[in-house]
Amino acid sequence: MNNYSPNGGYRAGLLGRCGAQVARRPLLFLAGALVVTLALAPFILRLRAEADVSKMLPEGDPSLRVMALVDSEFGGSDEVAVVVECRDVFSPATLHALDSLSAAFAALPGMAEVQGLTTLQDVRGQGDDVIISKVIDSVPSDPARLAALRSDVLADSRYRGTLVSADGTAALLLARLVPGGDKAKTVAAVEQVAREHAGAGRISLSGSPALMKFVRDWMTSDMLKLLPVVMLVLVLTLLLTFRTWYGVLLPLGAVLIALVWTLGLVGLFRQPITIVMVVLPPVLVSVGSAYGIHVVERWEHERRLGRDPRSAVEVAVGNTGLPVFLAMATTAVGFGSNFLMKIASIRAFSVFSVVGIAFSFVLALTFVPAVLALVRRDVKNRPDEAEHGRRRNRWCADWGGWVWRHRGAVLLAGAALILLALAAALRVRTETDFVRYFKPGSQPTRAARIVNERFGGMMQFEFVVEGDIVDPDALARMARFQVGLESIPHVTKVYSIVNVLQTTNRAFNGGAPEFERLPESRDATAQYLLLLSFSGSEFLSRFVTSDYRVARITARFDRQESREIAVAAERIRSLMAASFAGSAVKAGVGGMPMAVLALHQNIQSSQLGSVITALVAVFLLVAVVFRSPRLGFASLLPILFTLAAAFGVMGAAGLRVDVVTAMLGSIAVGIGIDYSCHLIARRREEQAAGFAGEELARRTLGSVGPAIIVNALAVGLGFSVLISSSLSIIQQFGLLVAATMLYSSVGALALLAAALSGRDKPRRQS
Amino acid sequence: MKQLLALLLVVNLAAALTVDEVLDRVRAVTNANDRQATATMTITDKGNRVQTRTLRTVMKGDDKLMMTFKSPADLRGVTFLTTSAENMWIYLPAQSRVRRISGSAVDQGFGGSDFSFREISNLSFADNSATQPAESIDLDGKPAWLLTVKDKDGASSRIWVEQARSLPLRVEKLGADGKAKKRIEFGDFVNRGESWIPVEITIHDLSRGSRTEMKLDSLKLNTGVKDNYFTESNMKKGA
Repeated sequence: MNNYSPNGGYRAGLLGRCGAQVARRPLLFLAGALVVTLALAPFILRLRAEADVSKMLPEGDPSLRVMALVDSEFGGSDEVAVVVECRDVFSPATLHALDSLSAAFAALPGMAEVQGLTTLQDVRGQGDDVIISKVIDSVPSDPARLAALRSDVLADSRYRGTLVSADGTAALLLARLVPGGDKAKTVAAVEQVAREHAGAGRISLSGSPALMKFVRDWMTSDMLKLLPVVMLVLVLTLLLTFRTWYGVLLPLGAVLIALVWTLGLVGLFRQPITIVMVVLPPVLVSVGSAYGIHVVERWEHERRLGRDPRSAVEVAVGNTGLPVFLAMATTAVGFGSNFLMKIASIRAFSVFSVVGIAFSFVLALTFVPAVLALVRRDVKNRPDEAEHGRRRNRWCADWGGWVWRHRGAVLLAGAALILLALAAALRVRTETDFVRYFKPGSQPTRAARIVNERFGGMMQFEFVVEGDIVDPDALARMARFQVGLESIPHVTKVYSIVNVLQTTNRAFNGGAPEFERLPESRDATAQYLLLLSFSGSEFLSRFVTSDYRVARITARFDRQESREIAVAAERIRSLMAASFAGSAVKAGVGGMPMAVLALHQNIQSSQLGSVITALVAVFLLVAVVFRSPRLGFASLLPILFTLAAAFGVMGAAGLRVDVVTAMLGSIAVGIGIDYSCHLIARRREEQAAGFAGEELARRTLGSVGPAIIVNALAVGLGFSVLISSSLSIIQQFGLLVAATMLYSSVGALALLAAALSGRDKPRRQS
Repeated sequence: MKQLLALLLVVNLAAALTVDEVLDRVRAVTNANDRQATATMTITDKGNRVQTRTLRTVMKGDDKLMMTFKSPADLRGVTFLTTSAENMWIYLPAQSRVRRISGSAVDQGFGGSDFSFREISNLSFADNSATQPAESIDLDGKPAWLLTVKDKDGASSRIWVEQARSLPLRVEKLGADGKAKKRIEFGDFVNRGESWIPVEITIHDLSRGSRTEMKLDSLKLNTGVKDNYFTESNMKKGA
């Protein structure tokens, strides 16, 4: 490390020696950067997008075990819900169109089965006959038969509100995908088929595979669309600040190279680009560019003082190296603390953001100065633009003086704001509903609403019951459990082998309603199951395994908010425990609602821990590097302000913590601490030069203030570009991080500056 | 030289046979007026779970078939009867009732196996017509015919027939895309009088990944089973 000396003099430490090496052999460092870039860039082609919610869950999550069982034993539960809105479902044209759509979907690669009015099988009793056929065997054409069909189907609770809306103006096709297949590809094929059948009515897609595919497509297009805009914003900000080509291109070039390296590694390790990872490029570009900005700024400063390009490089790297290192290390700690979250995609983001930040740091201290060492152009040092005479430096110096004079009031105002913000922050709730990824009024949101309101719910609870399923006691318990499930708010359409057996019993007894009950003996159950095998083993395999050892119960849920799921899940668990207590059979619950809930609980349980870890690590880093616990605590002040403000605004605006904004806290710590580090380091430098009191405050803010403001502007504007994202979740994140930059810079330039003003005796260099 | 000429003659004769002629030969050698046997059905699903069922089968011609479960215990006495493609009955001892089963979805599978009722009853390949000429090929070292046929519902199949004895060795049921959905293998043919009957039949459901093996014991042919054996009262006696 380095020891600072007044006005740019320094004693070489490790970073100073690094600067000397770069100044001496710039081409060598540039060649090195080129080689690494060429080696890692090809792996970017391996990047693939992934939006599956279940893949975000930690391994060993109980809901995943149930889902794995459903996949292996029952052919999976990933269903695309295709809603067809029309004037009348029971018109021959619509019924033919539904049949044609079902057949076309069923023929698609990756499609396991399609359930719809024209494909679903039914068991009915009629006199001495047991009729096993489709619900609609052939589309009738005469009005009387159509009317009878409408009346029969809408009177049957198995179909009304399940496959056809109660008013007969919308039909639902459930297209189940083969587990382990390329879901996005199959959903794309479903979309294509739907487009080809546009005449059937207004067709919209919902269900988790479709929503995940929309997220995947939209986030990929966002990434390609928004990253250039983020860079443009950065270019404009840098152009306005430096007004030189190297001031613009070098910080940007360094961070782009870092991005190539990082994404190359993401591809090399075959990590998917998830909804969380998609924010990595803008985060990296925005945050990583700051390191280069500080080096260029200092190099310009040294050039104005008359140094030649190479010795200016040496001094710039030597003197900014430490604060830049500290900024990098604290940011890395902030981002790295996300590794404590149990969500796989957040962990991956944590690892690669730390790697990317480290790359940005290395390139800021090698690539940037290597190019600067080759710059021959003079840096203008007009008399009116001397270091502290430049307008923006002067404004900042004036601000520093004002803060010093009103430090008590500034601190009091800061404390009041923190308390106010904390009060609002208490209203912040976690919500992992993935329909909220989309904007209100978008096609996915609309389709989800239709399925929730008219078809009993988009998400489905999956229950697996393991044991001797043919045993009458086991079936009776399942039946009681199902009755209990139906009484839980928002749980709808509960279905299992119990219902199938009840229907079969009624059919075998001439269709008499009083026989709509479970068979009384084990033999009768086994024999009905054998009878049902006539309708194809696929029919039964949706409900029970061929050895009758595992059964499946499904229940739709007509809400998607994780808070609502949490309430239902608690009741479900108690009901499950009560229903199967003392029985040889055991039951487990899974399905998309449980995956959403698991995300919710994982975020809730680990978010605070990750923020506290980041705070502790930042304190330790600052305290150790500056050998001052007081500075360690002082550096936390702007972060606490930032965190309180960030969550306070979220609380006041009614925004929820989701899988992306869950990282806001630790990102706020990671980015916000940079300003504190630069301010503390510069203050130390000025103290070492013998300044104290108001002059110290003026010189500190006058020199480091503009860089902090430029950086906050660059990052803030960079993130604000995300507001134009097609996904609501990314929009919110962009807005919140942009606002966080404002809080962080105000926190450092006001609160930290005021907090440090108490003890500002000159520190003479020993 | 004589042997070579004889072989050429056989090859020439073979090449001259039509699909219908090959199928006629198959029917001729596998034909029996009636058959009785005890069948052991071993069903292995895609998860390698195995279930075993034993049944008593009595069959007359291609249409009349009665099958009574002997095991497992909870299925003992369950009897299926078919007298034509349209007429199927089931007797469930637990309900002490016989019911006719009808509807378009019937005959998808039998007893949880990969066999459909029709596949169990129809070994004579009736109702099949040729779509392509018979092709002479080699199957596991044996000269065989490869026949591509369509049934009356338009479903295509490929049938491999051993040339030497005109015995069916393998059948593949094709889907609309021309890919095999089910494969049936016939093995261990036993000779009773003039008939050759496969006592081991394995069916693979290639799309589901399951398979069912059926082994026949106590096979009796042409014992003079009467038409009036296939009645509701005999179904109940099966118990």
